[in-house]
Amino acid sequence: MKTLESLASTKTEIEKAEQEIAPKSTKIEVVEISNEELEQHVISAESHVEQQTAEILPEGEKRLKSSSLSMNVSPETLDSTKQEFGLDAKLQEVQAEAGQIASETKSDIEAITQEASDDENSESFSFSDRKKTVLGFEREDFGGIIQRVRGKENIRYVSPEGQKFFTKYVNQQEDQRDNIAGLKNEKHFLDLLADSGITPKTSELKVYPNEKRARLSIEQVPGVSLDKMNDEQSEEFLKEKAEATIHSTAEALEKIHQKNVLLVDVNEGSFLLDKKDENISTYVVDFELAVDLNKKIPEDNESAFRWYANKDLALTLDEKIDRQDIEVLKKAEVNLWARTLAEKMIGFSDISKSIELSPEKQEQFNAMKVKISPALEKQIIERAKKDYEYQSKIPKEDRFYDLPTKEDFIQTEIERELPRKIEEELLGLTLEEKIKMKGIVVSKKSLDFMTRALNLELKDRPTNFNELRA
Amino acid sequence: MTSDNLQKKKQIDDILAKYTAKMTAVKQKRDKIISDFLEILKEKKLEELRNSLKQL
Repeated sequence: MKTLESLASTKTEIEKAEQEIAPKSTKIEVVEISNEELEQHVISAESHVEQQTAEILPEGEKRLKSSSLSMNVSPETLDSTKQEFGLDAKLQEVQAEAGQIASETKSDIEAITQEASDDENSESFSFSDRKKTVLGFEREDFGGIIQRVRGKENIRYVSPEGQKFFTKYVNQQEDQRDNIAGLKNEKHFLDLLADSGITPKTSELKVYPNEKRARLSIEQVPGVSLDKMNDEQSEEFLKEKAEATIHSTAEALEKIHQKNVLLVDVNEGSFLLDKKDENISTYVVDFELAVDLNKKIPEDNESAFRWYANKDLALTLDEKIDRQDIEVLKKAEVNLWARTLAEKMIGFSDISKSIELSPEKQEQFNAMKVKISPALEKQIIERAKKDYEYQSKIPKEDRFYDLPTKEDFIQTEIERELPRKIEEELLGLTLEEKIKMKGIVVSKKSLDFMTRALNLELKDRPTNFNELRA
Repeated sequence: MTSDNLQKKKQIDDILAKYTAKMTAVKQKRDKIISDFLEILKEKKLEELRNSLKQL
């Protein structure tokens, strides 16, 4: 592992290199659409594409089921006819085609955010050119469309001598979250956790003279994040070695919690997993939103609570909840860890599918469904209203589809989204069955722990990972 | 260096419109497969009924 001193010496290399190859300070001027609106538009567009694509087969299956039921065909006849017709294979081809169209669409959307340089001496940069070699330095962009619109870039450099270092660049943007403060926060926590063995080391944080841009060099640590894994890596880390992955990521997060620090933005990009001999090591990254509970700053706790509440329905179901309660915040973080792992293991489309449960569990499921449906419906309606507003602004002649009335649009969204969201929120009740369905084997202890962490009843959730280690 | 957010938004809208058109075609393909299958299933059901009647 690099020492801080050797990282400091790489700073000189970066200083040398960045004049030639680092992106110039970009100033994003809002013409008529703010950056926030554009970001929202991009997120909305990508979400729309993902949802539509995921619905292709379920919609077809629904029609198939209702038609074959009305014909009163025996299950044997249905199955044999399906086989003879090759129905599954034909529908899979359709799904593959839909997936291909979605993938191309998302690439096209990403390419739109390319910023062409009008300076003939500077490098133009496109998302399709993630890797470039300039002046002997290999430069690879690890960011994505959302990061760029938010004024952030994550670049990995490899020097001609093979030395690797990772650099985060941020641009300050008006009316946006303070990116430079976030980078300073990251620096603070990475320094605090420098001896933990589960976070990368950093060198100096540089704020550019115009105070609109900053960069932080970070040690390049081994490992691949959950969201960047290829099929082979997913198979290994999330299936074959699922138990080891659960323990390794839990231990890493526990080390952070032992310093009374919460990561807050726990997501599939937070954990870098690496295989060392037969063991799995984890590094934790991205501390921009982390909070230090020792400092007891109410604003910090409140902002952490708000972040968790966006992803954890349990925090909004109870109106009397104490948003400053440290135990609540810790439970929310453990919940996010469990959800992040479970969603990657089970997969995006299977998470939201219904599954057969025992009569006892089905009863619990149905009871919770009644409890959470009103809150979920409210969220869907709010989202649908925004989507309708954005779609209705597209001129009619540019639309290839008829926009229904607002009420019909909202109703369709509820019918489509509510069952899916219920399945996602009640993952704590279906985790065992869905993990088994994927052929993943984990210990009862791990399964029980994750199930409790995903519980929508806060009082039943663990506040730390002690039970997992015991 | 400036970025024209409005221009980008319009371009994204155009891409989405094309996506929707392509997906409409994919859905039509899906629906045709299902319709063809249901036709065959209906025929089989009729055949079953005819055979049941013959046996009576």
